[in-house]
Amino acid sequence: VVPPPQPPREGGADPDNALVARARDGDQDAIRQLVAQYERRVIGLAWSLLGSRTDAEDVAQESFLRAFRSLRTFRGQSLFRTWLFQIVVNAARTYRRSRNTRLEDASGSAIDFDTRTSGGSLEHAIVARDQLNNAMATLPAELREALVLRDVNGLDYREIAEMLGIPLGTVESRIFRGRAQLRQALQRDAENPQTSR
Amino acid sequence: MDVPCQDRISQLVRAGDGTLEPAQFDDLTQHIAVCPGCRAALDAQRFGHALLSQAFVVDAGIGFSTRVLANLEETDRWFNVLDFRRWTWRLGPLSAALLMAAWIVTGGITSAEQVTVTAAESAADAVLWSDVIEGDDLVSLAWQNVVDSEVLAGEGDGQ
Repeated sequence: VVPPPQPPREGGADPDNALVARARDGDQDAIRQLVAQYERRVIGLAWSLLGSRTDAEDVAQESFLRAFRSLRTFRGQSLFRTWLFQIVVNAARTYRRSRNTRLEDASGSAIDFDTRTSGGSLEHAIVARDQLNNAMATLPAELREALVLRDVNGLDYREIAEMLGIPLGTVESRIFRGRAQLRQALQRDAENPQTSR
Repeated sequence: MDVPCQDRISQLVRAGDGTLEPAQFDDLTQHIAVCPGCRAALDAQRFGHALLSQAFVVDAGIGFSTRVLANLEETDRWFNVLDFRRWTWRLGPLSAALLMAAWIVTGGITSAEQVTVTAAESAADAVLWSDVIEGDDLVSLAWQNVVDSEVLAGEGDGQ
């Protein structure tokens, strides 16, 4: 058993306060810095929630636009990033609902999977991405959201509880079950690849 | 299938992503040595965390922030025009000046109309009750809405 690293510091002042204040006054440079600082995490969050990289970029862009348009309403009662990620989660929920009604196939996103994580084989990467997307799609939405906020975006448990409006114990339980079900789904897919596609 | 202990879930989930306090981690380590259910659960937690923390690492497309800013400017242009706050609070002095101007203009017209009416009434009275008014003057008044000033002047002189 490998000893864990020190947990990240929780609470404290928002490191984005100064940039947010400038952005609220319309400072384009501050807005650009905030986008640059969070674009990867916002796209990653949307991607893991939607299963499609292309859709994720659209939702990420929409989320940033919503955030900056309504920045006047942000009172600093939570961290800026918590507020921003909440907007992303809501935008992804809306997008997913509309996409589901269109019955759109998101499997085209498979080519986005990073080949470095799969031994450099593009084919392997495509299959791995496909498997992961399928496995993620089997998770109930509430498990998937808590799971990606923690494991993809690295939010601490308290932030996730605040964002989703649920108790800390419920967050832990959802993440616990989400990881366990993800592994089971991947194992099922490996054992019966035809049935899960 | 081994089932994890329910009272260890908080420890297991945090141990899975490496955020469990060292003291609690030692406690969990001792527990999983004798509990296969929690050992398997911890393995799944680590697997899930490791997979997801690497699977969605992205490089934003080139120009992503530029596109966001361009869209923001485009929508802001319209939003600012339609923003009622801009018209009520930020442009308060201008709004007040416009209101003042509107009040003056409206008031001016009212006064001018009143003056015109009063003057017209006086002129009509003067003509109708004049002793020196001639038929031609009445025709002139009816058709051209003017009265020879000499008529009125003459009347004034006469009084």
